[in-house]
Amino acid sequence: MALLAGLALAWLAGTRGEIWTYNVEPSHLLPRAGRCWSTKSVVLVPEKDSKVPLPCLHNEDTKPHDPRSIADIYAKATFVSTDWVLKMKPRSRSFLGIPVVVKGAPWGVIIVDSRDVAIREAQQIIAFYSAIARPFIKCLERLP
Amino acid sequence: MSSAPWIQVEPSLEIRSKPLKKMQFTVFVSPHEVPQAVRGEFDKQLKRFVIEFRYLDDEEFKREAVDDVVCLRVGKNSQRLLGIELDTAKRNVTEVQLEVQSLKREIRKAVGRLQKECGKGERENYALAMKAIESKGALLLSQDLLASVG
Repeated sequence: MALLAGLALAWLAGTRGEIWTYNVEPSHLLPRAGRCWSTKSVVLVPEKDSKVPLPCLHNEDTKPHDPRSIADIYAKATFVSTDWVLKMKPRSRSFLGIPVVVKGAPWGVIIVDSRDVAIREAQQIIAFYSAIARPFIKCLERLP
Repeated sequence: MSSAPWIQVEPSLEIRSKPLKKMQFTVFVSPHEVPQAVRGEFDKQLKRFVIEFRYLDDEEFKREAVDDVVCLRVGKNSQRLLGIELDTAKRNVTEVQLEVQSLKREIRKAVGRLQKECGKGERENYALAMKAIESKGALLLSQDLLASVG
């Protein structure tokens, strides 16, 4: 169900990235989802109207001499470790995390990430989530 | 169970202040913290005027009496403000319009007191709930309340 909602959000956003839905213990969450979970907030990276995009880890032309330094910038901005960035070489340049709450308690997080340098439709995505959330959460309430 | 119609609250997307200014991300208040709709009705069983807030998810509430007039309904898990009960019978009513104004003041005082006792997330929710009452107050505290105090 969360996956369906995630896909719908991705379709709305027109992202070329991936959708991640998490419904696990906070300690097992990727830090970017964990940030949404712990703050119970919607998190947008890079920040709204930012002029500093996340560095691209896959562009040969702009690859720096020191891959660790660019990975370090990426890691700091996305709440993950530099080692994780170097290992996974993520393609996403922007992401939006929306916490999912059921009966007042955190249930999970929907992450929409994109290879575009910014998720410009963040407000529409949040509005769309708000529009579909009630029936979606009613279904989640019935899960064992 | 209340039968009063829900009054939609205009959706708002509030930016939450960041923990550190140099952090390159934007934090928005979760849509789960923002009341989607509000309604008010005199509950004949409780003999109280009840204002309810509807969120994206439903939740059980606990009652927190503020004084002999105002009792707040607070979410058991989230601490969100789910409703406000007003004991209109305990007021010495002389003028209806004055009474509505004074109840609004009581609500503001009660919510303000709750805000002081809670964390940052809840404070924002209480402020948003208060904003919903302020914007829809005329509709909320209308016929039904007037009937209950009149």
